[in-house]
Amino acid sequence: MKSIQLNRVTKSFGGHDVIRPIDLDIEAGQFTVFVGPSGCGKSTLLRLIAGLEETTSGQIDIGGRDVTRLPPVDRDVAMVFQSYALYPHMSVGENIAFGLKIAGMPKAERVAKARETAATLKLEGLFDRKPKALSGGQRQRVAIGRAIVKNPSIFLFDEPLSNLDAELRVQMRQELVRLHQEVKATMIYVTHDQVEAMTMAEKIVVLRAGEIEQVGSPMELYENPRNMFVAGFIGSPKMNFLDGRVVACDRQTREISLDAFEGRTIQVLARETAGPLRAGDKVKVGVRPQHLRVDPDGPLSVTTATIEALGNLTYLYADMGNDQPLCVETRGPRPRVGDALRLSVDPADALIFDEIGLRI
Amino acid sequence: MSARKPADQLMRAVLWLFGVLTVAPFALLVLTSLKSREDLIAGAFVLPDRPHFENYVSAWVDGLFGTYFLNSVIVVLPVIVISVVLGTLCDFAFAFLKLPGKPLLFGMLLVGMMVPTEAFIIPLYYEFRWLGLINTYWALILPQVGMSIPFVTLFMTSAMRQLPKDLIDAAVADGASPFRVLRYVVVPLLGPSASTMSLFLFIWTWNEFMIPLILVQDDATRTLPIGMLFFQGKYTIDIPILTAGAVITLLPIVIVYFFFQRKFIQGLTAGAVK
Repeated sequence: MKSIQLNRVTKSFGGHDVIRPIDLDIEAGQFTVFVGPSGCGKSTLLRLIAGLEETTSGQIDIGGRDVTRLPPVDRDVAMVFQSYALYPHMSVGENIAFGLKIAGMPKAERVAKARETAATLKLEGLFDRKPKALSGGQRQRVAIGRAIVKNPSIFLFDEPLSNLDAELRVQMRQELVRLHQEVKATMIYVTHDQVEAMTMAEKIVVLRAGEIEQVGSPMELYENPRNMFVAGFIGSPKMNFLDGRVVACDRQTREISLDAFEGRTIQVLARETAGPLRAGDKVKVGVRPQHLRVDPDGPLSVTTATIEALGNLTYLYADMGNDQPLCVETRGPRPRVGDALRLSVDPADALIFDEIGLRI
Repeated sequence: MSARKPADQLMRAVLWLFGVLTVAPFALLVLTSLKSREDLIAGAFVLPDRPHFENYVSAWVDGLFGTYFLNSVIVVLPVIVISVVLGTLCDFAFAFLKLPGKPLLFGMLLVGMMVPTEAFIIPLYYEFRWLGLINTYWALILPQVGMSIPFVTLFMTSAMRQLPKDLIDAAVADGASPFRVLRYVVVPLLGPSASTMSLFLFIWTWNEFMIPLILVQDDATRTLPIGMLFFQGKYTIDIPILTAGAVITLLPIVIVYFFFQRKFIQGLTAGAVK
């Protein structure tokens, strides 16, 4: 169990900055998730920590020791790849034991260790099989076994579940969380799936274009996003954003008129740390689908364009005249396409962002 | 299966046509090699009264094909082994190691493939004479290795680049040095490509004509194609023995091809990723 510190770490490929200067502290034993859209640099950042890529500048410390120029083997890390990266010509047992073989462990000892690891991952019966004779979930277990057997201080997972079907993904997610509780090692998990991030992480690092947008616990990010990107990325379905203008401000609330609703106004609770805001300022209002309430007396009127019924709840989408329909979560009576509804928002549930997307 | 599309049937007919066109001359060659001179006079397609295997004995013993055959084997095996080993090391460096001036070095290797033997055979002769290697096996092996390495490098680099990068990274993360990555991960997975490569080198070296013709003048070190040339001079009128010599020259290539054919279709990387 070791901590990780990144100090002004950068990475460029051919003059293109993939990772802008990044500072990050990951505490020992923490399950941290790097999340962000494709191409945001999350996998590159993981490979920099693993030692599979060299940093362009900056320093990486693992357990208080500068490892920036050390090869992966000297960093006490183990990595699980998105593609599993199993050696196809080796059996399950040989795959698991390969790292130990390289480390020079005698055959009898490493086979015993590999068997023990295979047993903990329910792979005993498959010990002598080749990867091509395994299912996707079994291959993923072997890949995890290959990491566990080395007993590393740090586990690095690069989108390990993205090739599995939905059901298996949920199951493996729970297994990985259980594994973390058992081995108590520091784990970094890269994903573009915010549901994985929310359900597994103790700490989420949201990345965009090689920079950290926000770091925090899942609920911190969900409830208190620093900007529109994080607000939109965390939470499913994503947050609605509505263009508006400040009508009036006082110490507790702001009154915002919404362009898409012919200037109808809603009240939004002011943040304690909010910057100055004046009447007439252009803003964006963010409201999560479950915070838009169907309310006959609500100020916002919409017409249902499409419906997604999930059984216990329904998402209805209203056309807003742009490519971003308004999403509303409803429970109870299911609306129909074409229904005219009125909506209201609790002032405590709406967020205000300035024109460049920063939270106010 | 019965209702095949007309396009499929046409394709099969074309394939059969090419198959027959390719095999027919060889069949005729084998047929002629089993005839007596009298059978031959009766017509090219006439079957012999009995197979005359003594033609092969004459070619093997009197025509020195036994010596030529052994020489070809002595030359071909080291050429394949040395070229594949050096070429694979070269490939690994090009594909996975950080080298300064990699594109330039790769370009230089390609130039090595483009120069025809005729362009350098005279200076090569003088170099080997100066080294005292004329009429030795080295005169047949070393130039062939030099000509093979660019080809192996080009061929195997593309095969190596097709290996999933994650596999190499996984081995590196497991603590393997570049040599061990090559030894435990890359080489076992390149088996099919190396087999194909070896087959190419075998056919190429087995059939090589210009270098042995110029650098070797002694019957004791001549390889099969050169032996065949001089044999033709001596046995022009005895066509059955001549064709028996041609079959002896060809047969190893056919046998090796059948032996390696199975290797071509093995997909060793199945199950590696995803």
